[in-house]
Amino acid sequence: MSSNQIPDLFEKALAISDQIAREAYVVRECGNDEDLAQELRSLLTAHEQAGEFLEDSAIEEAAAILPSVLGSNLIGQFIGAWRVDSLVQAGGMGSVFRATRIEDDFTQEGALKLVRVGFETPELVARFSRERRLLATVEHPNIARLLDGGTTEEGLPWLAMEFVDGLPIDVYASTKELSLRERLELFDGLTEAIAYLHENLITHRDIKASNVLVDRAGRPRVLDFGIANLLDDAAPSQHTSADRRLSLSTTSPEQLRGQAISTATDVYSLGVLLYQLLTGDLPYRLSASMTAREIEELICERVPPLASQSIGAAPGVQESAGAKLRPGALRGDLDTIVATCLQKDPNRRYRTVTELRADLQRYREHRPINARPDSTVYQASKFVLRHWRGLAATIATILALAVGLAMAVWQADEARRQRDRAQAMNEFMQEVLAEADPYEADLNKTVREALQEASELLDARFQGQPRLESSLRTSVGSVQLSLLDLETGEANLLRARDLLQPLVSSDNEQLLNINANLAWLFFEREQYQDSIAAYEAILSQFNDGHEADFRATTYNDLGLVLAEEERYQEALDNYDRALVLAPKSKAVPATLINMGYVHDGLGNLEEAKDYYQQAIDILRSRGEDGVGADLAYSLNNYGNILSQQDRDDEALPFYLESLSVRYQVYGEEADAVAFQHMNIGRLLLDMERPQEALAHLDTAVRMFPKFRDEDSIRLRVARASHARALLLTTKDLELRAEAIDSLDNVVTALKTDSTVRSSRFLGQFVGWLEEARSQGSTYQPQKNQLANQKPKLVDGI
Amino acid sequence: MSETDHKERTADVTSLLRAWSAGDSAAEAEVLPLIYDELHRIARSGLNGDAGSITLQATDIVSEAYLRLSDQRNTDWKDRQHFFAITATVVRRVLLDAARKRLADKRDKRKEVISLDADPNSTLPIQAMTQARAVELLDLDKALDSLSDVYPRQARLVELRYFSGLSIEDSAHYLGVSLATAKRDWSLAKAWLHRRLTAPS
Repeated sequence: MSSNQIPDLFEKALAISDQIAREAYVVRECGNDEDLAQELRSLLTAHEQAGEFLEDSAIEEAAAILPSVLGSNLIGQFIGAWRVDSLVQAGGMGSVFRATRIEDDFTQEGALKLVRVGFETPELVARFSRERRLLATVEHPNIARLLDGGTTEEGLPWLAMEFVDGLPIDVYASTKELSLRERLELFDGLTEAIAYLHENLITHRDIKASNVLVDRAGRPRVLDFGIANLLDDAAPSQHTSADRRLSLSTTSPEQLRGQAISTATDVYSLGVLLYQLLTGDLPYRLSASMTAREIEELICERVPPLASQSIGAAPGVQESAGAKLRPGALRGDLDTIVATCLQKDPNRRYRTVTELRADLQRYREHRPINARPDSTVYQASKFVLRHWRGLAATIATILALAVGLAMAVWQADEARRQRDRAQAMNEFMQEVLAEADPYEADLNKTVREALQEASELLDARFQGQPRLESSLRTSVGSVQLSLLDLETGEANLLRARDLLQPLVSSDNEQLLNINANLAWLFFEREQYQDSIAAYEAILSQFNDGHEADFRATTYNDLGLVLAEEERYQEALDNYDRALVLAPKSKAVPATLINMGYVHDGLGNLEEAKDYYQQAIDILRSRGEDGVGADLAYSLNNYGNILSQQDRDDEALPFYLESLSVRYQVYGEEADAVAFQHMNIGRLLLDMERPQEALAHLDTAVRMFPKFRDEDSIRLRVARASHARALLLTTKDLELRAEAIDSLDNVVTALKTDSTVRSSRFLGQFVGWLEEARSQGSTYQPQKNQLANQKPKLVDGI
Repeated sequence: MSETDHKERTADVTSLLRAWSAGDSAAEAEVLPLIYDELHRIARSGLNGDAGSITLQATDIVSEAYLRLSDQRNTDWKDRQHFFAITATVVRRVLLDAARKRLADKRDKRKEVISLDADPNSTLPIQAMTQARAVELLDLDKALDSLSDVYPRQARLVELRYFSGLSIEDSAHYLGVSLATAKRDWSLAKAWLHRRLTAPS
């Protein structure tokens, strides 16, 4: 069957509206090619069914969600403690902003680098993380300092660097019309910085003019370690080389070919930069029309013209170099030094930047240089490569280690239960990766990549060991599910099942565990019926031989699916089973909260309270270990029920304790912290303590915008409540007018939002607004009926 | 942004568009962010400019973005087509991002379901996209990639029409095929994708 024929046959068949005639046409045209006939029929049927499919462009949908995808304009926003002031440079994949750090006692200027939202590929994120990590260890006057770094709410890494107000080194040299000596001095400052990096086992890998700025004091400053990438050691492909966005004309042959990177790579790039400083031109001229192959050939095989030849080649070039240098000045030693740096074979270059520096020093002092035209530097020294491991091992190495350890565990302790081992492996992998990356916030991204590589390792390494491979794939797959890599996770889990199924009975616990993961996968895809059926199939296999924690988890998870389907009683039954089976499990508080949540939603407030109370008791009995999100949630939820029962005085201490837990768990600035401040503020409003309410709501409206879009219901409720508190406490006409505006905005926004949740608040806010307006600009605290209505929780959502 | 900046930027966009249409993928990487910003800005003003106003029509969004980004005196029809083409890429990416994010939110929901604040304020932020739609978009993306392996031109047509709102006539011009061919391609691509997306997995 040839797909070439299909478009034509399909079109002609489509033109025949009579079904019988059409079928006759298909039969006639396809002859004996039954595959072709089937393909045609199937496409024709699909065409009939397609209807309006794809006819409405998705662009409106995209436009509507753009704000939430991109986040609002960053200018004026805070990232960490940094206020974004202006865009300095919008690179293809990342942006650099000028920013000001605003702390209580000082402010500081900086350059904030951020991966562009929407471009956060794992490679790019890894590159950023690596840059941040490397910079954190570096302290040199000629290297721009790292000031701060972190991860945004979306998980995008950012870093703040010292803001260097200066010009790229080549531009600086030509606009200042520097002499040869001055150029070499400038270059010496650069080599000093790179030598320092090498002493600290860091290769820069992206030395080029635009990454070396000369500041107002005339000091060169090295920027941008972005390319120093964990993944660079992987074999290159068309894609990765484009993605890396190397500026190819400064790229070394080994980088282009994806070979080992060493200090000699930086020597090469320094050579390119020196060439540029001396001649005003690059050793290789690339054009946009060149293919990857042509570029590779040029850089990897052709010897560039000597610097002195280049400077003499084109009359115009001399001017751009500053009109000071003459070819004669470069001939001889400088040509040799540059050419030595630009050797194709890393082993034939200067072995270290220090050697390059020393030779340039000798040249400046008119002493004989060490380099000889294309000769003596070459010592087949594998030393550099052998000893150069770079700062961080590659993920593949880490994983090889992790998989090796998992095997060792397997061999040493056959008796351990499968799940324990899988758990141990996961924990181990995460630990290893966490150590590899001090910024744990990036862990998910890193793990994701690691898991991908693990899957590939598994393909090759465990042939003939189906049980082990199955076990490892289950581990990898279940972590992938939790990272929402559903497809890859599914593939691993299905493979794990196929490997294990022929070897074990249908009630094998590992097999059931795989199936439980697959059942959860249905949940993630909102295929609740399928999910429930899958869980029930697992339950039917359960016996007393299965580990209680595993069974309990399965019941709990089924309960969640049932609750999602609003089958509350069945959900509760399953939660009950989970509790009975594993009353000591770590997951018990979560199950109790789930039960409380269902009862809360059903309006069984006393029961709900009871479950939250149990969760609180257990978590408190765990001391430090119990202080976590679960405790914060159960305290808040408990307090919330008390408040629903008009027992505000009793609710307040629960809210306050939850707040203190949140500060411990989430830190000073967090969505969850802002949330609790808001709840406390609203409770205090109910309690007619507006002055205290105002303080909490102030914090909430200050903190939320860092985590929430303007259209977030949380932020809107916080703003309206804040306005209410202001109106109840201030006589300042301007503030009152602002508060009324703010309230009005929220009301307007909520009116266009038809969700049940919004309508619950709308009544209250309209009441507040009317009350405020009826008072006009005078301050006459009074209350009307509507304004004091309190929205009640009417359902669980 | 000052007037000068704007001029520099627009000149830049036009040349980038040309480079991009000549197959320079680096130019694409440069121009994408600009388009993102512009679409974003227009989308925001379209949505929030006057209370209650409806969103711009599909083609208007892209046209307006194009007019703003390009130096109007200096562009020809071809550049406009390129712009639509590259916009298709942007829009596809935006939707995919949103879909992934939506699904990630779903994942968070498990945690929140396990231990969700029962307060009415505490529920998940309003979702712009349903879970089903998110899954559909991810599926469509994959299916489009597969279609592109078999019928690259047809896949490109779907991108242009579905993600950038380009008319079938303009798409035909852009792809350098007759209108009849474009229509045929469209039917085939639709059938192929529909079959793929409705096939029991």
